[in-house]
Amino acid sequence: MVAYTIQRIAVMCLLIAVVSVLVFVAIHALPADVAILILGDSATAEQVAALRDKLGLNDPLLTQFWRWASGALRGDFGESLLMQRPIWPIVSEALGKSLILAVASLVTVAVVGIVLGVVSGMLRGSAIDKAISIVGYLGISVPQFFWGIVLSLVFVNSLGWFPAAGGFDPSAGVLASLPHLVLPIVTLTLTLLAHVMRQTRSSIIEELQSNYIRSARAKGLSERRILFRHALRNSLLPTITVLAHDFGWLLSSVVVVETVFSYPGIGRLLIFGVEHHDVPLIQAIVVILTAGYMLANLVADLAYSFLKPQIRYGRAVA
Amino acid sequence: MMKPIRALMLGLLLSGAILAAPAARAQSKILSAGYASGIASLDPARAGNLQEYGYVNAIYNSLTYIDADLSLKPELAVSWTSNADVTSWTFKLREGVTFHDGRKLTAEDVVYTIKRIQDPKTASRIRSQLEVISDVVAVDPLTVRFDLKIPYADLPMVLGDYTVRIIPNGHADIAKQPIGTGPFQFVEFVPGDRLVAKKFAGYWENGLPLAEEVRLRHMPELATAISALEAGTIHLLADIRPEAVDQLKSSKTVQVQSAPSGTWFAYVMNNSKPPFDNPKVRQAFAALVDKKEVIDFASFGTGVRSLTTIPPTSPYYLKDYQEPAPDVARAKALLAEAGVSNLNLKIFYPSADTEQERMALVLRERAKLIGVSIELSGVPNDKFYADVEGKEALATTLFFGRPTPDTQTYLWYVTNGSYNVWKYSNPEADRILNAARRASDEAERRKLYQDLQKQILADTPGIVVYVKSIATGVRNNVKGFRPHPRAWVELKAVSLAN
Repeated sequence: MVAYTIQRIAVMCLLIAVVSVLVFVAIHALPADVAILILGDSATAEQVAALRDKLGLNDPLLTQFWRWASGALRGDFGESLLMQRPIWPIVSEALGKSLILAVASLVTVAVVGIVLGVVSGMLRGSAIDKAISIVGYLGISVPQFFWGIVLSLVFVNSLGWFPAAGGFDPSAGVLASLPHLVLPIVTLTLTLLAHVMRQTRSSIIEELQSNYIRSARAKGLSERRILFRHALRNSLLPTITVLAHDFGWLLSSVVVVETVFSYPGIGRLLIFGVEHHDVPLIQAIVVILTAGYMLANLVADLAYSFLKPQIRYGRAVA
Repeated sequence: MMKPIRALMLGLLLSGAILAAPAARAQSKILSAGYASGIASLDPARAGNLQEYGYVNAIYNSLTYIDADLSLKPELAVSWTSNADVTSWTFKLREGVTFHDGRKLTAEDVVYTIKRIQDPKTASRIRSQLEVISDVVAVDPLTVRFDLKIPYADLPMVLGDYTVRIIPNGHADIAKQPIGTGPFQFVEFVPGDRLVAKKFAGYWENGLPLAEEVRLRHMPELATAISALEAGTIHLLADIRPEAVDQLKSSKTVQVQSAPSGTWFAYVMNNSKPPFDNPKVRQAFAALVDKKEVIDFASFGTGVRSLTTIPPTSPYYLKDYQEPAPDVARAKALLAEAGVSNLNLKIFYPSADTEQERMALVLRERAKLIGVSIELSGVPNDKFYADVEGKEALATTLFFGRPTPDTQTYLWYVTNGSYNVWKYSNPEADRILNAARRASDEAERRKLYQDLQKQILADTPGIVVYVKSIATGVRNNVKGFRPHPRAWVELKAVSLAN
C-alpha cells in the first residue's frame, strides 16, 4: 500500500515535469509577445526590444526554461511579468479561494447527487425518478455561464437574496462570506449533478438486484439496513471514480464561474496570465492544477481500496 | 430539553453577532468603485488601464493636476516658470508634503521619478511623452529644473498626466510596496479582486480625502457589475460600456454621468500601400463614411464625432469646420477617377474589442454601396500591435487620449513618428508640427494647430470618426463626483450621503 502510494507520487512528479515542458513549448509556439502587451498602445519597436531584453525573453528557450525550472524546484516560482511581484503568494491565495469553491461544490454534488441517485434508484420508474432525471439533464446540458447569469439575475437582481459579485473577503468572518459562495456553488453543482446521480442510481439498482442482497432480504434484514450497511457501500465505488474525475473537471470549470461571479480565484488568474502571455504565471498555475488533478485521482484510488478491502494495491488478491 | 434550546439560542445570537460585526464598521465612509479592467502592476509608471489610473490617482500625486475643465492646477508644484525661449522649465515644490511612510517630499524624488520613467527598462507607457526632456536637476530641495531638447510650452501639462506620479527617491520596489503622497495610502492588493486604500491622515490638501477608505474592485463581467451597482455593493462603476448605458436609464438608485474623453476611434488607411497610396481612394472613403451611422452602431450613439486626433474637448479643436455630408456618388466618382475598380479589401481589428469590430462591420456594409468588398479579420491584441498596425492596408484603431495638442498629434502625423499608423508623410505637416511644439505665443500655437487640422483633413491619411464618451454609473447617494475627460475616477472629494 505504501509502496504503491510512493510509486504513484513518483509518476506524478514525472508527469508534472513533462506537462510543464509541453506548456512552455506551447506558449512559445504562439505568436504572442508579452512585452507588447505590457506596453500597449505606446509600444514602439525600440521600447519592445528593451523590455524583452530586461525580461530575459531574448535568451534561448532552453535557458529560459531552465531558469524557471530550477527556481520552481526550489519553490521559487519567480515574478509575474505583468504584476512584477512574486508569483507564489498570489497563486496560493487564489488557489485557496478556488479550493473553497471546488471542495464545497464537490461535497454538495456528492451529498445531493448520492441522495438523489439513491432515491431515484429505489423509486425506479416513478414520477419522482423521472423528475430528478429531468433536473439532472437540464443541469448538464446547459452551459455553466448560462446558469450563472440566470441565477445571478434572479437571485441577485430580482429577489436580492444574495450579494452581487466577488466581494469575498474571508477577513469579514465566515458567515458574512457564505452568501457570496452560494450562487457559484449552486452553478457548479447543477452542471455536475447528473453524472453523480445517474451513476449512483444505476449502481444502486444493480446492487439491489444482486445475490447477496437477495440473501440478506431472505434472512429478514430491513430494507434500511440492507441499503445502508451493504448496498450503498458497494454501489458507491463507481460514484467515487466519477467524483474524482469531476474534481479535475471542477478545477477547470471554476474559470467560467469565477468570471461570471467576479470571484478572485485561480481560474481568473490563469485567464489573466494567458491573455497577457505572462509565462511564469501560466507555468506556475498549470503545474499546480496538474498536481491537484493527479492528487485527486490518487486520493480517489486510495479511498476505493478503503471502501472495498478486497482491493489492496501492491498485493495479489487472495 | 431546555439545554439544547439554550445552546441553539446562544448559537443564533453568536452568529448574529458575527454577521453584524462587519456591518458595524463605518459603512458610509467606505467608497467602492468597480472597474471592468484590472490592475496588472502596481508600478505607477506602468499605469495603462482605468483601474490602474484610479489606483495612481488615489495613492499618488503629480507635479501638476489636469482638472475636469482641462485647466492646469498646482499639485506637488506650487508654481512654474520657463526661460525666454521655453527650453527650460523650473518648478517650485510645495513645502511640508510627506510620503505615506513619513519622509518629506524633495526635488530628488522628482528627479528619480522622471529618470526612472525615461529608462526603457521601466517599460513606462508614457516614456515617449517625456522624450523632450534632456535633463532634470534638483536645484535645491524644493526646486526642480527641466532642461529640454527643444522649446516645449506644454511641459507642465504633460507632467500632470496619469503616469507621471511622484514616487520616493530610490524606491525601485514600488510595484511591491506602493508609497506615494496621495490622499489614500495603500492597504492591500488582491490581484483580480480588489485594491484597498485608507485615508492618509498626513495628506497635504486640508480637509481631504472625505472617505475613510476606498476599494477599487475588479468586475470584468458587466451583468454582475451592474447588479453590484444597483445593489449598492459598489457606489461607482467606471467606464460603463455603451450597450449598458441604456439599461441604467430607468434605474431609481443609479444615474449615469458621461463626459467626452480624448480617446479616439479611427479607420486607418495605410498611405504607403495600394490602394490607399492614392489620395483619391482615401478621399473616396472619407466621402463614403457616414460618421453618424458609425457612432450609432459602434458606440450605441454615445460617441462624439471628431475630425483628427485632437479631440472636441480640446480648446484647439477646429470648432467651426463644416464637415461635408457623406456623399456616395462623390465617392464612386473619386474611385473611378483613381482608376480603381473591383476592390477587395480586408479590414483588421483587435478581436477582443467589440466596438472596433462593429466599426469594421459598418464599413463593410457601407462599402458595398460603391462596389468595394471588405472582409472582416479580427486578430488578437498583441498580434494586432506587432503585425497589423502600420503594416496592413486597412484597419481600425483606438488610442487613449493625451493631455496636450502636441502629445495628441506629433507622433501620429510626423513623418516616421512612432505612432504614425497611417504611414503619413507630408513635409508641410511636419513643418507645422515642429513649429507648433516650439511656439510659446498662444495665438501662434492656436493658428498652427488649426492649420494642422485643415491639412490633415485635406490629406485624409485616415478617418478619425469619434471620441469615446466615458460613462460612469453613480449611485444617487454619492456626492462630489465629477466625470473627467481624462477618464479617471477621482475619489478624494467624493463622499456618501446617507
